[in-house]
Amino acid sequence: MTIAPAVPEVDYAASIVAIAARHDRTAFAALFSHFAPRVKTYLLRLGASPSLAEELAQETMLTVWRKAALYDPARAGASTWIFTIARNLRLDSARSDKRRKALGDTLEAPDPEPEPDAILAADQRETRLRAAVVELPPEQAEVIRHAFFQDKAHAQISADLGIPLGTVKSRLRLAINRLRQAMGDLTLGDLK
Amino acid sequence: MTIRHHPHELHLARLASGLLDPALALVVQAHIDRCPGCEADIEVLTATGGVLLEDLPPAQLGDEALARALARIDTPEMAQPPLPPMRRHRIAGGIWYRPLYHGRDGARAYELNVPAGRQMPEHRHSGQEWVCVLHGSFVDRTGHYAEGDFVECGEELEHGPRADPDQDCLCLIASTGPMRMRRLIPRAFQLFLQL
Ligand SMILES: [Zn+2]
Repeated sequence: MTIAPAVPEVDYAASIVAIAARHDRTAFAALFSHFAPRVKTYLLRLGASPSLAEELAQETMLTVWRKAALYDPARAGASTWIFTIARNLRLDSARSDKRRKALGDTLEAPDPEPEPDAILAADQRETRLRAAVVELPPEQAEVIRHAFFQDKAHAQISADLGIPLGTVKSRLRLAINRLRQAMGDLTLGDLK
Repeated sequence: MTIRHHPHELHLARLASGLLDPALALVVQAHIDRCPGCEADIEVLTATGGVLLEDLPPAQLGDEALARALARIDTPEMAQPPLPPMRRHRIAGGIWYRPLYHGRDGARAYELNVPAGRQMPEHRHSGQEWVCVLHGSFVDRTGHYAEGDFVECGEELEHGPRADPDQDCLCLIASTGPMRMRRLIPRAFQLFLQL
């Protein structure tokens, strides 16, 4: 697997907004076709069984439908928002009881009327991040790849890469700082 | 308030990517809620997760997956009943805990309150134990920890943390295995540890 994220051609953020505005089923179908299979892959990579991954992919997309009004295009791109939903559902599924709220309900309400400028800025930030991920130096990209989407112990990552754990951490730190720079940290801080 | 002890980068990446055990994730999240630097790291790592999600090869979905989803979106969502508040359990000498999470794999997270100046019995851990100080401060053989600090106690560590004398110390603790006591301890502690 190489890190070469394709720039999405469809405006998926607009699709989520369309669901919120007018329960647009066509927009939902477009989102589903693109994201549900990728969310399932993600959940499989986290170690979910195929049936659990299928069910959680369904639940992720149902949550997109139900919580579309909470999506704030000025805050996050569509893929980041959907990724967050899938991740939180996965965390919830590991609970032995039904106390699902503590981890799962972390979706925040958006600003009432996001300014077009803010949406544009969020869009540009995401584009810059995408470019920065692609342009990471190979040794940093490798560490990101191993830290994400592969359920490995720290020692295993270090062994697989053939570098000490301290080097894994310092390369990860370099990568994080680079990506923070690309997104523009000040803007990130303002969003909180 | 200056936070001096942070979770390292791999923990942050595992939290952002959803790989961290949920009990441990609660503790890292408690630190992040108090630490703007780590919060900014998590934000950018989560956005990176979104970028990488786009790049994952699509999996084969079950038959009629979209049709099933479209059928389900018309079904109103079941309202979840409000959660009963978790109860505090007294242990001994003013020490109490409040369970917050219990995983299928036995990992658990709980709040533990130790009164000012009191010490926990010496113990070690059979798995990971991660701590975030929510209020007050404590000291053990590895150092001094104050509000917001993140502490990782390895399996080899044997310690008896003591709350500082000026105020109670409240911690959020996650453990992936039971504690082991060094010597005989009061029955109240045994019950706590067997949870
Ligand atoms: Zn921190």
